[in-house]
Amino acid sequence: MAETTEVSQDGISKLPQPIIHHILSFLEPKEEAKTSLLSKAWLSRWNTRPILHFIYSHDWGSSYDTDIQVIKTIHENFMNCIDTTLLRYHHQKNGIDTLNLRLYNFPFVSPDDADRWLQIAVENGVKRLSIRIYNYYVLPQTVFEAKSLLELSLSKCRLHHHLIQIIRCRGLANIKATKLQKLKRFSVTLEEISGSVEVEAPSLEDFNYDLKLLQTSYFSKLKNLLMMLNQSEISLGIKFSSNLVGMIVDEMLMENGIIPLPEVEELAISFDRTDGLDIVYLVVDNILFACRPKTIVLNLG
Amino acid sequence: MASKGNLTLKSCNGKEFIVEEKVAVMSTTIKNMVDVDDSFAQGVIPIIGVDGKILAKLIEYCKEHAEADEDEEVKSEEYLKKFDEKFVDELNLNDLYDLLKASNYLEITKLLNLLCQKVASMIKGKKPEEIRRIFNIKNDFTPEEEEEINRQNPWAF
Repeated sequence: MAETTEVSQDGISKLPQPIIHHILSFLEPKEEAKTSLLSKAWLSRWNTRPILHFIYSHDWGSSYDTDIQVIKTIHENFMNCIDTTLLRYHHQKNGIDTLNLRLYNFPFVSPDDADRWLQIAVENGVKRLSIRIYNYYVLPQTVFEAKSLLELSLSKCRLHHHLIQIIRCRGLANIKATKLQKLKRFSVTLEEISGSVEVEAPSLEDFNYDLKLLQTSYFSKLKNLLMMLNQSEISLGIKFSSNLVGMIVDEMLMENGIIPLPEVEELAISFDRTDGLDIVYLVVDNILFACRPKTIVLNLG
Repeated sequence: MASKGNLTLKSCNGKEFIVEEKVAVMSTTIKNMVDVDDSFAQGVIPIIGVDGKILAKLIEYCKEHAEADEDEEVKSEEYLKKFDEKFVDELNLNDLYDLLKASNYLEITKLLNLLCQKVASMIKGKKPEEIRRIFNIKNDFTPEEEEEINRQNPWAF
């Protein structure tokens, strides 16, 4: 930095709020928080930051050396901090762009509190949501119905009836659901998705995907996959059964006639429309070539 | 709109710059103006609140990047990285702030990111008093208030 002119006044604090928020977004959460100590102007900018990180990852290990009461107080303070911060966003109607709520080695969080936090985030237009609360927390449906959501990252979350249903998330670009040990059913109904869907769910048995395009997914025990490809002219449903081990379907690859599917025991394909059959035949040809199923069931609607 | 022509940009203190359109439209704001209103493409585009010195800097940046976007062979990624580094290192604080404001207003996203990253790198790893000294920020907290902020954000410090 060339120090040619003496900086006589505090120019940085006079920068418009969005610029300061943008600068803060390039800092690690701890570094970012430190800026709240600079001055009142910086505290106020920090208090309205649209990207919220609440990450607790302290490992007390064998806590015999540490006073239990001390740890308890730290946990309570942390909880209070999340609560007061989000309530303030709620009352002042400050936009929340990102909520990164990740608790490791953290004791029980009341589900009512967690539900309220997520509710506030959804109401304040959250676009990116990353959640890791604790093993028994049941994620509320509000999250999956959030209209502003663009990116959702879940880990260590429990779901109602081992089911994820994502509907009406307009503009959702990425879905990442990991460590969902007991998830059995996953259902997505969206207009379109531009990013990727990544599901790490070893118990997944049913996957319902009604979208224009499925880009990337990986499943280890999938028994049933129903996929709707609503391309401009045709509507094509492909049902894969019997331990499908992995699948990548990409528009580009499909156009080029290569779909890198692994070998599938049984392949059932059904169409609900018979117009535009030329394209259907081409697609089916490519799928058959790529996954070489032993049994094929065709169902033309 | 003259698609391959030049545009004239006028700073707030009356300095005029003739630039290639592909350079000027690195700014989303200018791009929108030209797209919506043909008269901007023929005449002079006033750049409100940006003086000649800062506008010249903006154009210098946009020129390098517009040319690189057009021909990757001539200006490699590495070349651009070096250019960016030199560009921000040569700025004094006041120019840095003015460029931040101008690139925000003109929506030159690449440059805005570069400048914000520069400021973030000046904050990174430093104690509050060091950051205050670098940017000449006056601490207007009482010791009690400072204590209170420390107490409220227990995970952060």
